[in-house]
Amino acid sequence: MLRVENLTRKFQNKVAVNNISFSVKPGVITGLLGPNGAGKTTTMRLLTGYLEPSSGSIYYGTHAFLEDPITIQQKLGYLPESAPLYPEMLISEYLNYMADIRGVATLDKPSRIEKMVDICELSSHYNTPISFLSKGFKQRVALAGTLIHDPEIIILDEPTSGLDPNQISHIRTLIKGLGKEKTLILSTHILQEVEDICDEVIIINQGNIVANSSVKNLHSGFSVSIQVGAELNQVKPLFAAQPFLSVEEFPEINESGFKGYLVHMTELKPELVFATLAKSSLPVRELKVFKRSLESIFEELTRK
Amino acid sequence: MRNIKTIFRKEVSTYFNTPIGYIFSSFFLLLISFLFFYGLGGNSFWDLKIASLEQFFSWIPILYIIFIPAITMRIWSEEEKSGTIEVLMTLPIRDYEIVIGKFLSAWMFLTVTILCTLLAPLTVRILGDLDFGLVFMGYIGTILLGGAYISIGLIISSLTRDQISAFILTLLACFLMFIMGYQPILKFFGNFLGGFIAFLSLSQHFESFRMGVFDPRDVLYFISFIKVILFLNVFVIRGKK
Repeated sequence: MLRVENLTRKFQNKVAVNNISFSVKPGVITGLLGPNGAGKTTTMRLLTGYLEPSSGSIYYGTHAFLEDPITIQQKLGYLPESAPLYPEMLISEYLNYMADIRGVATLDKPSRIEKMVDICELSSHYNTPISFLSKGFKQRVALAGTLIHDPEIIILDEPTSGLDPNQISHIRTLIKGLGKEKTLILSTHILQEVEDICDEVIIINQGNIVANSSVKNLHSGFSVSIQVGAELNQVKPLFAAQPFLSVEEFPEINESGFKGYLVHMTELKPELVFATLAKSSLPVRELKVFKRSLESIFEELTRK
Repeated sequence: MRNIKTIFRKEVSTYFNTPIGYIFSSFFLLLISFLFFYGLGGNSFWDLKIASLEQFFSWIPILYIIFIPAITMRIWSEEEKSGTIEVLMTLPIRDYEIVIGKFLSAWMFLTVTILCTLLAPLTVRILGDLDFGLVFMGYIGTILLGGAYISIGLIISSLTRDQISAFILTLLACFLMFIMGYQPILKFFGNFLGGFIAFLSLSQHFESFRMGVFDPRDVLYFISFIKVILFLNVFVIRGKK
């Protein structure tokens, strides 16, 4: 389990990451989401030891990361943004080098390399210099180098950028499989990706965490949408008391006298909305749990 | 130790896998042979007709000024530019292991190039009576001086983001170290100050090797110089975090 407490990082006078705290459980895929320049990459760099925080602490299990980063870095696989590689090396040389430097035992090395070549589909260009490869291929080589020592903690900065749709779905399947047992954090700005593979999501904006919840909860919120044949001043008094919070009108829904409203509640209990409406004997056409799209949530949270 | 070896192996293979390494070595070898045998004035081997490599070793520090920056310019700046530094610095290895591995590989590359010049003393040996002890000391000095220049190039490369500025700044630094031991400049500063500057300069300590004198103090000077600069380099790398 990874735990981050009050992590802050300043560059000169600019605060890139501002006092963030969160934790990540193994077996759960956590997505780090945010607009460009929000502090995603800085956060990942802090978690991997490439940067040191201005203040705050990072714990992997009970182990304080900053006191002895090497021990953790042995179990860590980090794929930086843009998948940097040594262009003059062959894929085979690169994987051998990564296996050696990451401390893969000599006996396991051939089987680990073979496995990575297989998983990341590298066999067709195994003895080609990296500079000759396409962007998607390079991305997969970098991923293979990241996972070669079978790390327990995997941190991936935009792992699917530059891949074609087939490769994206392949890599996503791979990540999903890894996420079942490992501690896995990935950053992305593709919202679809978050819905597809992430269990938890942390949204960062301007260095602050603006949301930290499961993807499912983030979607639902506590609102129920209804279509009632009545005006707002008739509907509003019905939902004045707890657990109802407020009623909001959907101006775009207005069909032959039926208007759309959104009822906000302290907790999600659509049956109470139904009971209230039934009692009022107003004509009701539709009642459903309101599901916001991730796009609209993202936009709302990162607008500032 | 294992990590230093892995870094060393990887870096050495970069020198020998890319044409740039061979190009610079051949350029160096061509130039040193030409300057030694034909020279630029009346001091060439064929003019002096003396079976000695004194002239050969006096060209070495001058050629180093161009050759060393070419070897060291890419070492850190290339990692920075391509972003591989981010992978490198998050690997389970210590900063000093990377610095030492990188230094040793560049030094090794230089030593291999220098050993290729052994044909020059062999040629002289065929033509006349050459003192091999003198030549041996000259080579030891050449390799130590090269190590010191490489450490300068390495730290400058870690302070710059691109190869060109690393090259030019290292060239300037090496030139400065060279003229600090250059007699006309030292005379200008007078006895006391001049002597002090000369002590700090690298070329002054190389001089005794060139003359075939083995002075442990000079060996110690070069080794300490390299150690101090590499130590500073580790600090530069840590400072970036």
